[in-house]
Amino acid sequence: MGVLLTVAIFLPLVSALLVAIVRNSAFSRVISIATSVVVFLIAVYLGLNFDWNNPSFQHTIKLPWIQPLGISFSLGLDGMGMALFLLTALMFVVAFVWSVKIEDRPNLYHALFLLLETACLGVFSALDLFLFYLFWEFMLIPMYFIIGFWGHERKVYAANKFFVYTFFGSIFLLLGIASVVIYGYVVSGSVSFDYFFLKNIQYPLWIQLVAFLLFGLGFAVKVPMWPFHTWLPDAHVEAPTAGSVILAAVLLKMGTYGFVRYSLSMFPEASKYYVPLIFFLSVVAIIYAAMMAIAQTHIKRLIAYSSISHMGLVTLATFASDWNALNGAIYMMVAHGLSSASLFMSAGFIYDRIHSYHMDDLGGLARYIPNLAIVFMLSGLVGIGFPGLAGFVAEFLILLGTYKNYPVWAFVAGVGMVLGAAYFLYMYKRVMLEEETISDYRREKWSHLKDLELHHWIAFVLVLASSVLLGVYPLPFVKLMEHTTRMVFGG
Amino acid sequence: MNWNALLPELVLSIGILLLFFLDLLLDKRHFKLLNVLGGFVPILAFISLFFVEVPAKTFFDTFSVGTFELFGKGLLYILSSLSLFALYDYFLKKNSPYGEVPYLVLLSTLGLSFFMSSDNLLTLFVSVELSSISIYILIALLRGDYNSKESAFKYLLMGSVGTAFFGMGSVFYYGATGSFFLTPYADQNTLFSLFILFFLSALALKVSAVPFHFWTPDAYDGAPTPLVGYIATAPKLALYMLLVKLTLLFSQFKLWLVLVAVLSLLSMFYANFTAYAQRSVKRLLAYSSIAHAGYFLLGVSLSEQILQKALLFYLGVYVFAVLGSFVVLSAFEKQEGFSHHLLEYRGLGRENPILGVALSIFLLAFIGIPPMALFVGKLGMFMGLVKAGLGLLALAFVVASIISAGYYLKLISVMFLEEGEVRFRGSYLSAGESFTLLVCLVFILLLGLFPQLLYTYIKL
Repeated sequence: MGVLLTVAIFLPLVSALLVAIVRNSAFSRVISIATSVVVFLIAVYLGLNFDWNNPSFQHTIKLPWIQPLGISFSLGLDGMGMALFLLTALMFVVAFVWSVKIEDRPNLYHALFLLLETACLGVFSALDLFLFYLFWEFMLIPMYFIIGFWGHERKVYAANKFFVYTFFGSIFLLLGIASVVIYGYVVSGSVSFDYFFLKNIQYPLWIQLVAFLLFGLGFAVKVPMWPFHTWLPDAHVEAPTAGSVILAAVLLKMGTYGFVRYSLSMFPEASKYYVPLIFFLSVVAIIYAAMMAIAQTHIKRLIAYSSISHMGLVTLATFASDWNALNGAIYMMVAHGLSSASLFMSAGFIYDRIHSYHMDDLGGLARYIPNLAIVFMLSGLVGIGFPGLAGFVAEFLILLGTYKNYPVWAFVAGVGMVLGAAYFLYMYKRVMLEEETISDYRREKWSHLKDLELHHWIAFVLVLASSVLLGVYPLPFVKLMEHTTRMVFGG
Repeated sequence: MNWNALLPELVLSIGILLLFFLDLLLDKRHFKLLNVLGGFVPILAFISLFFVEVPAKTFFDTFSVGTFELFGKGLLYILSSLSLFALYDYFLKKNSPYGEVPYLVLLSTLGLSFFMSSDNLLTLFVSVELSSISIYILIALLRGDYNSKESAFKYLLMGSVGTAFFGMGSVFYYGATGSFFLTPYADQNTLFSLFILFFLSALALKVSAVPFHFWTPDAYDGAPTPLVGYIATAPKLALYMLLVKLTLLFSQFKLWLVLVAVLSLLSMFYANFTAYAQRSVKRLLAYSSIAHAGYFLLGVSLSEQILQKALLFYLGVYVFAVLGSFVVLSAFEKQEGFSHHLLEYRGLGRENPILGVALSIFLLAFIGIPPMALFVGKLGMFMGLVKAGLGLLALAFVVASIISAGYYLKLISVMFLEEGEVRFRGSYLSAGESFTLLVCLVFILLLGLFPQLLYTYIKL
């Protein structure tokens, strides 16, 4: 199985090279979609063969790589990794289907997305800190050029900001990795970057405190936690639609994934020590970002702030030291991935048709593109936690778990969810319903608008069907999350 | 006399003499031939390294070779061979086919080669001067160009100051120890402190650390671009080899750590901020190399196996990134009227994808993005610094790296992303340049994924 996992991760890389060599736009489109579908099928196969009663990493592979430095090529998945691996594989199918009509430099576009896919899949399955960092940081290059080449007006600014912010976090992460590896060397006498080796070391408290900060800074920028969040609205506003989808659905999850996989598992005492700090930052993110979202008139910016708010919920629940909360946090990663992806696709569709993201230019669209109005509503409902959809399960678990230990913080998080409903419905009203504000000229122009096309439908159905599945039948997925939770809390 | 220990130097010397006579006999049409022949001389020297029996000493013990020296010499010969292959087309384009170029470059290589093997301050002095004087002439080569002359003169003046410091330091060393041989020394006295102060200043000047960096941007700016790739790499390689040796001997002195730390902090922060103000890409890269001098100096702050090995690895891959980036720059400069202003780079990456991508890979490598090998160097330096208990210096390194990311990115975004008038359309690569560029790229990418290929040869 480990071989299959390796194939799934590096298949996109091979396809990217093929795309770069062949340089034919039809070929790039076909091979990109084919590659992502194959990867997704492998991911599903791995998921079906995942035994959540077996409390260890699965589908593992370990090959010697850089022996003098104790680095090995080591991959494997636990429940959380499996869930995010599936999400990533699905999202790249969606992204490629969505961009099937891209005209501007299609070969480069597809090659970069394929490179990005390898990096993203690698991050969620690496079990060696060197390998993890390699994927983690390599991701920057394709994303930088995706924003920079296919973005909107201020794309260069946004791309540079994205790069510098993320690099700011990850270089601290690199120092953190160096520190724990050296501590392992001092204790045991051998250099190793192996995750299990480093996880099983008992770090003294002060090392945990320092290393937690170094690792945490890297993850916090990616999540992004307040006050490191300012790159995200800019990056989203400027990125092309598929870029936004991947950014919101996959890249942000890397941060929260890192918190669970590394910070929480390797530095348990520091994780308790820093609870007040993390809760404070998370709650500020939840409330502040939700308020910021309400104040936006740019729909993509609004969705970006809503992402920050939701990710605040995830970090809050991650450190609430409760089974249900951690289950909910991981569930929220997936649920938010689905909801934000379909919201960004809706926004991207509106831009494709009307060439504006500003609410002032929009209004009453439900009459002209009714199908979009339906999927847009559904996407929003997933995000605000409507019962029967993925977001509900996640929010319910988070509140349930957080309330047990920290009732006051749980209450504040609940307020954030109410605000979530407020800003989404407000946006929906301005964009889809309110007809009074639009001019006759626009009415005339919009009466010929083309509604969702086949590739839009495929993309939306893939995402929304998954959301419904996660909403009405959460059991297998909660089992997946619990696989990780059990490893973190023991037992 | 143990001639075997001198084998690579003998090969180089014979090659230099041959080239010297060939230059007299052949006329200017054979400039390309001379350069390519010159490029093969270090390759022969490199091959001869395998026949040297180590460890060995000769010249009354002033000259020694061991595995450590072999590592440095190997890299040095590859570097100088690659630089020579990449030179000729630029000089032909500039209409200045001076036949002196190949043997001057090789003379400098010979000097550095002796420098790496010297255990004695006198031979160190002689060999570093052999290399420096060749480089003064190389910088001034473009006789018709005012900038070239000015920068050579500046470099000569600053270099002489460095030489003076070097001599002064050696004198104090003799006063303290009664010998010119570098040996372990434990007695803490004023004379020895003065030696460390002067000698470190001299070396700091040669590796262009702040506050002795002033010659660097001017020298880089005025020198013929493909030669900058050599000037910015080969001497540094040799100097850091010496610094590593000195660290192993003398770093128990508190003064050493303090001086090195101050030099390094000043270099990385001053240079990384100043780089943002640059409009010339050559100057920008000059400041980048000053900042890197700061990073590298961290590697000689304390005697610690992991740290020095990491430094040598970092340096060993860094030199190829620098050489490669200057090859790209010189290929761009072959366009008429190109002066390396940042605006002239607008859209160049889109117009010349191969050159643009290559330069971007080198720039991303400088930032420390994987899978480029410089990131492994950075990781190793972090590990070494943490192991040596210098976590705060590691933190400073991190902060400086973050600051630096912006200006490298600016160049990348100017080349690829910025819209607007594109002033220069394109350039082409000569066979030699493409070869050098390819080797540099392969080195950077391959060693990033398999650092053990180089790392295992680093033996202190």
